[in-house]
Amino acid sequence: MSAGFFMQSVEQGLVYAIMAIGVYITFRVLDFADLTVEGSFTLGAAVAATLITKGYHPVTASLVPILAGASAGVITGLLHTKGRISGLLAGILTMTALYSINLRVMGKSNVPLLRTETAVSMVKGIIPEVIATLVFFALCVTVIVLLLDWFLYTETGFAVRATGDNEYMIRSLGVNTDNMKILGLAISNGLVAFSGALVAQYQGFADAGMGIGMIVAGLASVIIGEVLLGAGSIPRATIAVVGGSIVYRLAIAVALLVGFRASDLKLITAVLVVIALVSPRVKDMLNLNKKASVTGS
Amino acid sequence: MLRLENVTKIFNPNTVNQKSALVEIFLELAEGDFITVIGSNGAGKSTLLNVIAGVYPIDAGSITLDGNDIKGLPEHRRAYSIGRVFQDPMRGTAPSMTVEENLSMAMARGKKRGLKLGIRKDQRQFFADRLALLELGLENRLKDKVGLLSGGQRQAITLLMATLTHPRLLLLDEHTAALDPKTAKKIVELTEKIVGENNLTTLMVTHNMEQALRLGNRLIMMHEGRIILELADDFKQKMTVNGLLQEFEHLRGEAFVSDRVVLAT
Repeated sequence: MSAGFFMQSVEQGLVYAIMAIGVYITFRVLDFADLTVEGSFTLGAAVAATLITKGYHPVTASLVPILAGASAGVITGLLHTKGRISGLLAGILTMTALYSINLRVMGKSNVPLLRTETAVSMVKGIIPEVIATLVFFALCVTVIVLLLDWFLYTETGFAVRATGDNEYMIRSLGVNTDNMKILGLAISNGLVAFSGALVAQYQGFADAGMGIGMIVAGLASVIIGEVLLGAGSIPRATIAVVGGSIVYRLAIAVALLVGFRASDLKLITAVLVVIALVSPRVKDMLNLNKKASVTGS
Repeated sequence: MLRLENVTKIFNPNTVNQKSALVEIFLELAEGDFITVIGSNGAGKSTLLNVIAGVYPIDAGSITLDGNDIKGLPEHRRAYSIGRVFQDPMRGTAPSMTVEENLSMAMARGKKRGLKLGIRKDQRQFFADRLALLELGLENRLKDKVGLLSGGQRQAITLLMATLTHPRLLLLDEHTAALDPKTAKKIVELTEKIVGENNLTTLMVTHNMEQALRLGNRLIMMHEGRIILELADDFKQKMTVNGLLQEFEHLRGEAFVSDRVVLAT
């Protein structure tokens, strides 16, 4: 693998890590399988691309999507908590609705951002071009990880974590768990949309289909990170997600190098997640067999 | 301080499974009362605690705490002034969070939770002191995840968490029933100690009649959603387990139905 190819994978790993951190918040902290992600990622990209083509400053175009994504999260949260719709279905409903909304936002299914000023092109004007994107994404990820680590150790952060851990317990301590779920979903989808906004500016277009498979890619990053780096504490877990995202993008790059087609990647990702999810069980079974044979001899 | 008037709760109304869990309950607790609640399975003991805590709404009647009608308040709002310990030792603590994180969440009961750090340095010593009172060595395990602890240890922590902020009312729902006898004894001792020292107004459901007679200053017996016997302090002290059983048969004209109650004596 050439150095450029490697660096590109790390860049992707970092920018998608922001999305994966969002998935971590719902999937691991809130214990909520949130499919809104597929729609809110595209929403972020759509809003950013539209704002940029309308002449807004790239910083504005990168930050407004956070609010858009958070609103999508709030809607899923309201459907689930007030509407008593199962979490999975609530996410699917919002995701489906967002598909139409995203097309409305963009006005067409693909918005190119070539030869326009984006956050990525701006950074390239400040720092040496070769490392500009990498440094910029690394900076974004670092700030987000630090902010999230801090938040999860605040009083409200404790309440959000406890809501995912033991809802009865934290409700009996006076916390409105509905609000905590909505808050968690808002933060998660805000980050996912931010990631989408950056990806659009990085790849030079927003596309109505770019969110497809995002949830599994996010899960893959979370799980790969846990397997490789562990999840003993919150800072450890959040760093692991970033590491997992980078490893995931490298694995995808290697898969392409060895001759898989781009269209095979979703299958590869799904298989990767299955392996990561199943491997602890397999390990247990192997250990059990080993023990059995030891006592048997 | 707590007053239940005419409280009725019907599960699955207008279906074949309709069940009157509570029927026109009147109950008044004075400041510092420690009432034990006994009764056969399905008598409505847990439902009584759950409607007070706001787990589900009541169909008729009123519930007032310190003169305020709390009938319409959601569970988490009532939790501002009500501490609870559940039968299931897993239910009262967050397993993937540490002992000190769990305690700090209990400290925040009834307060606004903002963006201050959940644990402040000056709290640690306080937590360690309180944990030391449990005499389980937990004061040295502040940073351990609660999921690593035994059921008894978790129940002791839950009890501590339920009482840490001196709630107006403490609800104990068979909180020793799922523990082994030795641990159960320890938790009962801790309950007596904590309730006594803080003079907490307490409602405790138990299947153990000996325990129900020994603890607290009043006893109520429930059957089919009604309170069928109430013993004030002086009567309660003279009462025996056999006496209670006879009283029950006398009141209902039927033998006590729950094996668990009999075995627990």
